[in-house]
Amino acid sequence: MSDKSIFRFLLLGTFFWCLTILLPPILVLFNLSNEGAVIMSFYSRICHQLDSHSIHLFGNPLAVCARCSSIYFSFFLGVLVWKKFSHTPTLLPKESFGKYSIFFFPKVFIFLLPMLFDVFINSIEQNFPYSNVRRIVTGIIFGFPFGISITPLFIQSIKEIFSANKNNFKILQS
Amino acid sequence: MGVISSVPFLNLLNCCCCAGILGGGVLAVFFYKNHFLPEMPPMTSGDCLSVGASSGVVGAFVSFFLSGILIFSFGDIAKDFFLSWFRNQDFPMPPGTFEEIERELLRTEALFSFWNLLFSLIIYPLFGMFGGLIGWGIFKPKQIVYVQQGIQTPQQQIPQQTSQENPPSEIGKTE
Repeated sequence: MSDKSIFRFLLLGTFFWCLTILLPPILVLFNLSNEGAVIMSFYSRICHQLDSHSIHLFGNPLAVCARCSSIYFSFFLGVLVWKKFSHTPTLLPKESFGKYSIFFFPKVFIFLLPMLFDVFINSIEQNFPYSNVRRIVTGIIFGFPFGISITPLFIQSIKEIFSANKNNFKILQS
Repeated sequence: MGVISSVPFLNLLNCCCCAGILGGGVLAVFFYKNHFLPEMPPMTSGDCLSVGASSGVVGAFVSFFLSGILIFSFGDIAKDFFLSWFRNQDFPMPPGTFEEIERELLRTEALFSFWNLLFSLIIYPLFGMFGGLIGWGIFKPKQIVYVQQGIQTPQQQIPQQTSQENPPSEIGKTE
């Protein structure tokens, strides 16, 4: 299985995931509310789907809230542009990112802090104004680098699983 | 993973981008790592991805049955608690939010429906897989180099005599 085919599989998967998030309000436009409800039911397991916390399209909310939407869409963008941040052709993540090593685990978790701070402040300070813009921004700050970071790791992992010569790899520990 | 997703109040963790499911994948990798002996080849990212996905499948079934058992035994404790709590508080919420929360909490779903299990079997392994990758990023062995037999190591690729025409290769150069 080549790197390109695995990358395309990941890209297609994330694209399909983002597309289904956009589907419910579009299906309502075509009088397919029942099908939209099935999609909403699917995503209800991973998101609270509160109407006031969601982005609206054609007057109806997306399948997930604003924060989740921004995370998934920016994750897709991160997967799409991963190669721009890749330093060398190798897929070992640390070597792959070079001067962009902030995208390497576990440094990439630093991008989680703004989102955690926003959630924490909203939960303890009831007078703190709700803002979907803040949710979207913090979601993008987390999702985009995470997509960049996870892509080479995913490609490497799938390659290892499906590699016919897996047993021929000699592991050297430096 | 299944316990976090089915126990009332604890399952709220999954509202944070399925943190409970991701955490289950990370935890699975942690326990998997502890099974490795020094003489064994270290775990790979492919192993961790498989472990995370497998833990997701198990977590989906555990969550499905455990949540059913808990609700049949004790009722929907979390739903009753949140309904009464919201009614007794006076939070400054955007208009319509309280009614929406109440409507969502009162919505009943078939506990043992096929769709419930099917959706869980899609979501849990997917997020568990990413949790496994995160776990590899955290618990991976110290710097290792994979070299296929028959291909020179990065050190062997550096020519013995350097020349103007062929500068030393930096392929595979590590910190």
